[in-house]
Amino acid sequence: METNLLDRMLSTYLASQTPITVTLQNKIRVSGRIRAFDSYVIVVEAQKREIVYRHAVSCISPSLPEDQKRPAPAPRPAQTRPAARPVQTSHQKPRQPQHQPALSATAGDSSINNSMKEGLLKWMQGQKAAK
Amino acid sequence: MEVLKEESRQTIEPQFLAQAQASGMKLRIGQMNKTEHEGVIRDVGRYEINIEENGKIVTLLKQEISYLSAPQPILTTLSLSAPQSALEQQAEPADAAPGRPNIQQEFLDKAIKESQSLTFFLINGQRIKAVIEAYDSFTILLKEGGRQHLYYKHSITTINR
Repeated sequence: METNLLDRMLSTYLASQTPITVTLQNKIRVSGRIRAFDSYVIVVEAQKREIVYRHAVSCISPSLPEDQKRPAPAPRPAQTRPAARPVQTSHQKPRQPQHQPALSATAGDSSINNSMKEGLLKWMQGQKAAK
Repeated sequence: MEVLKEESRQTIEPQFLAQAQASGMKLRIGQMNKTEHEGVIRDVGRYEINIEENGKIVTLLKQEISYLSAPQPILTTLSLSAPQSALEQQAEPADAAPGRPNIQQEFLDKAIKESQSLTFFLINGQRIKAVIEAYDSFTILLKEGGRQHLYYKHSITTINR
């Protein structure tokens, strides 16, 4: 009985750079190519690099052709467009109108992510084009 | 189909896997997270199994496998119960303090001897009613209908009579 069958499989996939799908215990799938691995983690690389703990792995298989084309969440500018804090602005004393875009851009800078930024940019361009 | 040998009785799991691999039988493999695979065993490792499913080699970790199910019996157990318990006592003296009853072993041996139908509750909420044929440290061999199942103990929460 082989003691390190998984290591052998991983090195095969690493050498051949086969696109694989790693299924985790919670059924989450991580797809990509193996970049590296050691006894505890596997580095899977697709668009981003992900470190997968081997203790959380449930199954490793070569990717299905359609597997990687799972629908990515489309950026939704409509949701990101409204002013971030309508309640807050109504509570406080009226601000100068030119402050508001700055507020919405800086508010929640930790939570604002790239898709939101893109959505905002798209919306601003759309507004500019409408004028 | 393989008759269990005297000296290898306490190792049900490796034998089951080896025989399943040799026979090329298509097994149904259930995982802890309720996903099911169906394929032929290609490699057997200590902690993982390779199966061929739809022409692809899929690596499954044993720790995540709940059961392996064969359409026909893979192992036949003949006159097992009495000598097996003796073997088991020899096999695991380290964790069993002297004079302490081994409850699990007594329970399972009795169930095997009397061919009781037992109800198993699994971690993922499934319930199975089956007759136990044999067991080892990590697995239990069950018979249900014409099928033979190998359940890993790590996926079992309770056993009811």
